[in-house]
Amino acid sequence: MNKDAPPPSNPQPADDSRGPLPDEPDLIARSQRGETAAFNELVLRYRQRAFAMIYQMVRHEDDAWDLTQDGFLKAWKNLRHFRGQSQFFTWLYRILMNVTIDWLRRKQVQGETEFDDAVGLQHIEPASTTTPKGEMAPAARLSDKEIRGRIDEAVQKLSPEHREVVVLREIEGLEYQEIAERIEIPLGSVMSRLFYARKKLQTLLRDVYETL
Amino acid sequence: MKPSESDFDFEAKFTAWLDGQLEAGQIPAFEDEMRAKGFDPALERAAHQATCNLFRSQAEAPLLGNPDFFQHQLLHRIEQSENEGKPARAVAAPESRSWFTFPRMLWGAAASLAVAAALFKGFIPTSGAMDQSPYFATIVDARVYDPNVSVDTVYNSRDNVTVVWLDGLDYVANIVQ
Repeated sequence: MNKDAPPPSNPQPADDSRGPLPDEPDLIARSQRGETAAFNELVLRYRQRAFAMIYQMVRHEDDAWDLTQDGFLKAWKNLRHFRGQSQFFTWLYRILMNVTIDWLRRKQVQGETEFDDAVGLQHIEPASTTTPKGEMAPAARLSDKEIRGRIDEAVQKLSPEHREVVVLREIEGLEYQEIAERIEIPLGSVMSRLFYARKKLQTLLRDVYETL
Repeated sequence: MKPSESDFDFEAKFTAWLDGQLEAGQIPAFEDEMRAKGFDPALERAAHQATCNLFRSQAEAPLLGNPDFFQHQLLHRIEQSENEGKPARAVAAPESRSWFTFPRMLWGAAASLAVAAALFKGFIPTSGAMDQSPYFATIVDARVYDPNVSVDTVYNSRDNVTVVWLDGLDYVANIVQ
């Protein structure tokens, strides 16, 4: 058990916090038969959670809105493949993330963003060069908006794979094993990706947390 | 550069160490390994904490905007996608059901031509009938300058007879002899 597991920092609003209710298998079965009303109910249940997760990946509200739509549409088209071997949300999550990661990759190909995955341990800066250096003058302090902007920029520099693990761990508060199952990669890869994602964030945000 | 297996192991242990998931017996040895690689355990933990606090402080996602429109638009797109699935069947079907196929149009055109030919043969007077009438030839050859004289002809194909209706002449000059 992970005693240091972070608490989820993104509480879900009422309409999506109901979790899997007893009628969910029925809604899924009806949706699989083509009943849009039943699928509509599933969307109502999970739309905020889906949107929040995609938002954490893309850090842009409008893009997250569109991608959530695309994700649910893709889920509808693939619903017949859902066999109930996992939770519905786990299955839905994989679809949403695939849509999001594909989109991020397309953006990369179009030259809008650049991820640097080709980093080895020897290129990682020790914390001695990234540790806060004490209190800054008040004039140098950043506003919340500026801090958010800097975090958005830093996250956008992470590769989609690194973003995903860091979001699942630091924001969703999942255990390594849960992350491994969710994104279908070995446990060791989860931990390695987390190492690089955290280190990269640490380097990119060093000057920000130095001012706080 | 691709990380080696020992790097991979170090990264995994580093992550577990940061999250307090490394077994107590492994911690001293791992911290020594960290120092050997240039990482200061205390500073690493402090930096990680500072980064995580900062990251989580701004991690709250906004609420989904325009949720009703979201729902409406999604259903609309679902309907569209359902209809998009049908054209593959629908496109081929109308073509096979349509009356206006090329062979039918060809047959229709041929049949129309045949009917037109039959009607022409049945109702339009032929030149042979006119040649057989001396009176007709006489009238056609006659030159009359009186504006009160008029002539009409009616051809009866069944009896092969042309009725010539003259108005304004007392007789037809017989010049055919």
